Amino acid sequence: MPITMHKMLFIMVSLVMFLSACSTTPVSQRPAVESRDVPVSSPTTESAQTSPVPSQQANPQAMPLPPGESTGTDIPATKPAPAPTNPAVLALLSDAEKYQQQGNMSAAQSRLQRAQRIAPSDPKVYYQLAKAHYELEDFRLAEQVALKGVSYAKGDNTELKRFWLLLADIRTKKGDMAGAKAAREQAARY
Amino acid sequence: MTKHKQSKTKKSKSVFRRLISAKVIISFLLLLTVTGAVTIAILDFRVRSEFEGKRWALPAKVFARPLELYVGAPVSLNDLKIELKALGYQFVDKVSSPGQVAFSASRATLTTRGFHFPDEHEAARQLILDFNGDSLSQIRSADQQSLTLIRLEPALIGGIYPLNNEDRDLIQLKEAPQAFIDALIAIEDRDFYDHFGISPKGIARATLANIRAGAFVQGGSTLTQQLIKNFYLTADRTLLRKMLELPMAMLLEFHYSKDEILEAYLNEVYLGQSGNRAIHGFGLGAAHYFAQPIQELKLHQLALLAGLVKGPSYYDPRRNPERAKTRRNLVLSVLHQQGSITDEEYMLASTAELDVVPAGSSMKEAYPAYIDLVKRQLRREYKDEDLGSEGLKIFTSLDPISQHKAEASLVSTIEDLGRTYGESLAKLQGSMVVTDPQTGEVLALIGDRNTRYQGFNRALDASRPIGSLVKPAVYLTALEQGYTLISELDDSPFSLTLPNQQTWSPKNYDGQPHGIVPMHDALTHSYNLSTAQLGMELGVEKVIDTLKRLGVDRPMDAYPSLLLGAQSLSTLEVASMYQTIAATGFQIPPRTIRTVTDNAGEPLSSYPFQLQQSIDEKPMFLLQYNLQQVTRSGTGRSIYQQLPININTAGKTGTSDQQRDSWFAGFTGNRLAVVWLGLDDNSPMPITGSSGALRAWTRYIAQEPLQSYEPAMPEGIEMLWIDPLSGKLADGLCENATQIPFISGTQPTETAACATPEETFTENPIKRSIDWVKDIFR
Repeated sequence: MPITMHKMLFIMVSLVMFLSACSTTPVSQRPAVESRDVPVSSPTTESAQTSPVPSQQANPQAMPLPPGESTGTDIPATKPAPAPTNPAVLALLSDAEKYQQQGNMSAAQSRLQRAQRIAPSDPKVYYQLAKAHYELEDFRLAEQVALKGVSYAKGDNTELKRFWLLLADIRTKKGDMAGAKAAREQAARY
Repeated sequence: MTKHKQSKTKKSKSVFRRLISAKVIISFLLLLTVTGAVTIAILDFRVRSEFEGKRWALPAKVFARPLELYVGAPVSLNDLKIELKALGYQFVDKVSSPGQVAFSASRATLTTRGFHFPDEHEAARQLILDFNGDSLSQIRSADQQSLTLIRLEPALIGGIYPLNNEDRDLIQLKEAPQAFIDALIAIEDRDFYDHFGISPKGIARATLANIRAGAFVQGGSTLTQQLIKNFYLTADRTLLRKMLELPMAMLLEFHYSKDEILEAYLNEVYLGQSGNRAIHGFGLGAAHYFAQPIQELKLHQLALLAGLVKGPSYYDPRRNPERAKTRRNLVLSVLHQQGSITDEEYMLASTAELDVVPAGSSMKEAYPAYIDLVKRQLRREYKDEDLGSEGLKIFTSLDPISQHKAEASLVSTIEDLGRTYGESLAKLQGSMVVTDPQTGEVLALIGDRNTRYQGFNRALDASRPIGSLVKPAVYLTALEQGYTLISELDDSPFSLTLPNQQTWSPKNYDGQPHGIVPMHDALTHSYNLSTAQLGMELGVEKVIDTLKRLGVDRPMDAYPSLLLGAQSLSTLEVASMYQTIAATGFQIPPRTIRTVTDNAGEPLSSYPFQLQQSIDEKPMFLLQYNLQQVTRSGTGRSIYQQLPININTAGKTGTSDQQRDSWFAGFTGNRLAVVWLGLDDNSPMPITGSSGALRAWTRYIAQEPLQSYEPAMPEGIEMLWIDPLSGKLADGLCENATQIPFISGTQPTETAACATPEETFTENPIKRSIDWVKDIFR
């Protein structure tokens, strides 16, 4: 599993880097673009809907940290693992699920759209949205939404697996057998 | 012979006349009776069928997005103030009824009005909101329960009117405050509940008053007669029409209750004019004069509204405040005399100010450019007459807070530039589009420096050369074809003979050629010579294809000058192009409308999130990276004089030929904004994209809740340290090494002299990561 190994290393590296950045790194000597993940402050505005995706330097994106590995207060708030889903979004998603089961797709849709506006980079929202379009047999849109979701799920293997399995189903229904096979293979990687 | 014949005829005629005259009279009387009966029957039929089936042509109502409140919502206390001002809330010390708010240092206590959303009813309730800087930290109900998610009512931001331009906002009788009904009846028709449609008492009283005054000071028309006049007889006021008024009023009273008649009156009455929009009904009247629902008005305001009926223009409280006050106080004194209000209420109300909001402060006219776009999108599916008459409700994504900030930023920048450059920029114009880059929703739109101007909408209709805004399409085409960000480009002068025999020899902005440059530098600093040569190599057609995949949906001519931005686009088209870049190759068409419902709130159509991937995410990621360099160290770097450096932004400046257009298109994690500045007569200007549009952009973004732009790195991208001198792989030991992303397989394989060959990063990711750490501790 060279990829996972690689990713783990990056995470560790980025953690160390944050620590060091707070103390000694001569930020200004590096080209400006590369210094972007050196925290200046930890803005409070970025609480709930901050993209969980760290900068390129600390890539691959935000694998969830084991709880024990929290490195204390020096870790800036700007680079968390995937942000926990906001309770407001969770409430909307569970409402949407309920309506979906009752077959009230328009009520489900409106909840999902609200959830997306509040948390436009939360993969959970895209998963459910893609699923809703799948059930409405709008396979083209379902596939696109799921693909978008994949990009927000980077680093979250459970979520990625879920997305690729859904994509395999969508593509099968679409009649895209080669695409479905590729999606299943992707899913198997996680 | 002729004579004889004549006398004979005369004789027979007179006999004939005598014989038939009795018949004629009888027939005539019969005819009259029948006609009368038929007329009454017809009138009766008309009165009933029209009253019962009376459906006013109800304008479509256009709403802003409702503000969503939840813990962590990116809303500051100041943002909430902007929102509540747009909603017409009263700022008070202690909240006692809906539509009021009280502020303290970091807390707002308010009572919402509630709203029927298409998906569910949001009840009116008291809320206690606590803020922590730029976000909401706690939401509680009056009994201290914490709440998860609340929607404020959406601001009414416009209407789509029928041909006669009548605007109205229907209310039910029970929604009208009793004090208002009392005032209206007292001043207009005090026998309303006793008469049968016409009031002989009223007519006598009026006649007496008119004789005493020696002039026409009082009319004897009942509310019922006034309603008939407005309802059925508006077209022309001939004597016949006047004669029909009385029987019709009586017929109306015969068939309908006083309450039904009164409710119709409340909604029919004409109350003034706003531009070419006619204000009808007290529901809209309250909004027009006081920017509040009628239920929230105080006695002195209600009395003014009731008083206005007699002459909305003569008593116009904005143009003739003294007359309006006299009229209002007359209403109050009648109420006082008949004992409907106490001494104290009378004193208080009659000494109060008029409390009318200034003309033109209505939110319904505040966003003409945005409403214009909404209408265009609606007209694809709805007929004009339905939009103007069916009472549709249109829920849009306009964000009054973003719109307010965008307007303030654009207008103040235009004014500043006017001051700095004087006459040459006195007539500087501008347009702006703001979207949420992740959902594609249009949050704000400006089409004129006078943001309330209902005319030419530059954001949609001014197509202007986009200058260097086109360059990302050129570079993206190259990246798709295997170029890397460090591919070498030739930035030296060249000339091209065009098919029309003209010579094209572009120049750099600084007039200097830069020799051989790495591709990313050429975009970062917006070099023309290298871009044009790159584009020629790729083929103009290929670049056009890329522009189309980025979402530019219009025919484009494949001239070489397109490579440097000769193509004209509207501000909105540029927004949809950059939207695709921000969303990593997914086209997300800009949307304004979320849902359309009928008058009863039943959804007719909704417009879900749409997207279509049109560009592979890997080359797009490289372009995004390069556009971040533009704002970090290139032509857009002045952004960081105002924004904190931990906020990533990406964007591009654009300046057209001879500086006729100043553009900036850019985005953060949660906002995409495009700004255009220019002169309507297309004159050259003393400003560039950087010194013009970028200033407005930065000023705007700095006021918004900041979210760093952090695109997910797709699989198949390698982030490598590169030695800028040689373009070869570097390591931590190399001076000025720069990190550059590559699509796997396109990265350089040679190692720079400054790095040790066996430590090549690509071959050993573990070693590479360790070196990276070393570098940091160095």
